[in-house]
Amino acid sequence: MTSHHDQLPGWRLERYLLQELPAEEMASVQRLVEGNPAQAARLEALRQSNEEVLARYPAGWMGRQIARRAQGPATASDAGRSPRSAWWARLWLLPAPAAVVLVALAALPLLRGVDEGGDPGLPLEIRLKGAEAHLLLHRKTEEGGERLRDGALARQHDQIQFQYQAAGQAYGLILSIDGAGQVTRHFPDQGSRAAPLQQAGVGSLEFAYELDDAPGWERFYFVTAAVPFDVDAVMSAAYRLAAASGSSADAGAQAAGAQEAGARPMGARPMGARAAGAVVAGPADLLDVPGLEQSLFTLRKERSCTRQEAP
Amino acid sequence: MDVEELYQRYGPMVMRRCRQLLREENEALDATQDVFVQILKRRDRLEMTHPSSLLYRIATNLCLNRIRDRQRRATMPGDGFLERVAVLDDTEPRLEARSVLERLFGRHQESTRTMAVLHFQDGMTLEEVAGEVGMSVSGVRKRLRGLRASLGEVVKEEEE
Repeated sequence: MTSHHDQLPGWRLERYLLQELPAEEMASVQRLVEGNPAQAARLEALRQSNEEVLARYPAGWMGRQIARRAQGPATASDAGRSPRSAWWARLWLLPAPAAVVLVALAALPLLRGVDEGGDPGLPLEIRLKGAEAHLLLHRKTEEGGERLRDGALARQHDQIQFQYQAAGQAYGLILSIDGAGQVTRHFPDQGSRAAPLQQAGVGSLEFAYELDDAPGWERFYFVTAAVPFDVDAVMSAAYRLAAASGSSADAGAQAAGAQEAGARPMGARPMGARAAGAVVAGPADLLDVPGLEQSLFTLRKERSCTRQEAP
Repeated sequence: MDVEELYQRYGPMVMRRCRQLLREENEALDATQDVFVQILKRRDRLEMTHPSSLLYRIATNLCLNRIRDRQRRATMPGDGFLERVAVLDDTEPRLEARSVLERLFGRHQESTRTMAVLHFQDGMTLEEVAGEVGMSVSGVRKRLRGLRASLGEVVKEEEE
C-alpha cells in the first residue's frame, strides 16, 4: 500500500520531522534522507506544508476556535457524527456563526468554474449580472416573523431564517463570518460545488439559524455566479480572511457596539467593494473574482453579547 | 496545556492527516479542530509523552467516523479502502458505546478500524501497530484477522 514509500512511510517521516522517533530510528531516517534525494524532497515538502498550514490557519485563530468548541455543549465527534451529517443539530448546538465578511483576494486563483460535466480546471466563465442577487433575512417572533434590514440589531438566540433572490444568477453559496472569527457555511451544507438557485420568485432555505454570543456583528455572504463554482475555494478564502482578521474582531465588535442602529438598504455590492461601511472594523474586503458576485448582509450584535476568548 | 503551542507544533501534521483521509479541505479543517478539542477536554487525563502518535491516531479515528457518516448518507456508497473500513463494526461491540478518547487512552481497546488503517493504509507493521496502540502483536493480529474477510479484495489490492 505504501508503494515507493515503504522504505520511509509518511507517518515515520512526520515523526522524524517532529523529532519524536526513538534515537535509533532518528538516525536511520536521517541516513535515508541524506542518501536519497527523493526522500529529502519529501521531507522538504513536509516543511513547506507546515508553513502553508500555519499561514492559512494561524495558531492564534485556531486556538480561539478550538477553545470555543471545547466550551460548547458538544462536538460533532462527541455525538458520534460529523457536523455535515448533523447539519441541523450543528445549527443549534454548536457555537453559532456570525460574521465578518471577507472572502478573499487570496482565494482568487483558486476559484475555477466547474462545468456540469466536470472539468474543474476550466476558468470560470464570466457573466456579471449586476448587483442584484441578495439575501433576505427574517427573525422569528411570537407573531411569526419580521423581516430584518441590513445593519439591524440582533441578539444571541435570535432565530434567523434565510431567503434569497437569485436575480438571474444560477448558482450560489451562503456563508457567514462572525465577530469571533467563526466561519460557517450555510448553503449548500455539503458538497464541493455551489448549489443551484431557485430562479422564480424568492428561494427559501428550509432551516433557521440561531445566533450565538459572538460579539459585535455577524455577516452573511451570498456568493453567486452564472455557472457552478468551487465552494471549497471560497470557504478557504473565508477562513484565511477570518484568521487574518482575528485581531481586529474585537475592535470590530466595539465599533459595532458603538454604532447607531441606522440600517442600510440591502443589496448586492459589486465585487471588491468595502462591506458594510463603518459597521465593521477590520478587514472586510469582499471577493474580487471575475464571474462571482456577492452580496452582504450584516447584523449588528447587542453590545452585551460578549464572548469569552480563548485562554 | 497551551492549545496554541500544541497546534503550532502538531497542527500541520494533524491537518495533513485529515486532508489525506477526508480529501475535502473544510471537513479536514473541521476534523483538525475536533482533534484538538478532544485533547483540550481531556488534558488532565493525558500522558503526552509522544503527542504525535496520539494526535495521529485521534485524527485517524475521527476521520473514519466522518467517512462512515458520509457512507451512511451516500446514495452510492464508495468502495474504496477507507470507505469499507469506516463502515465496519468494531470487532468488540461493547466499544461502540465508548468514547474515542477512552479507547485511545488505555482504558479500553483501540478501535480495530484505526488499527486497520494504520496497518493496511499507512504501512505500519503489526509490531508498529501494536506499539502504537499498546497491545500485543498477537492481539493486533487477532483483531485484524476478523477484518480481512470483510475487507476482502480491497485489502488484497492495498497490500499489493
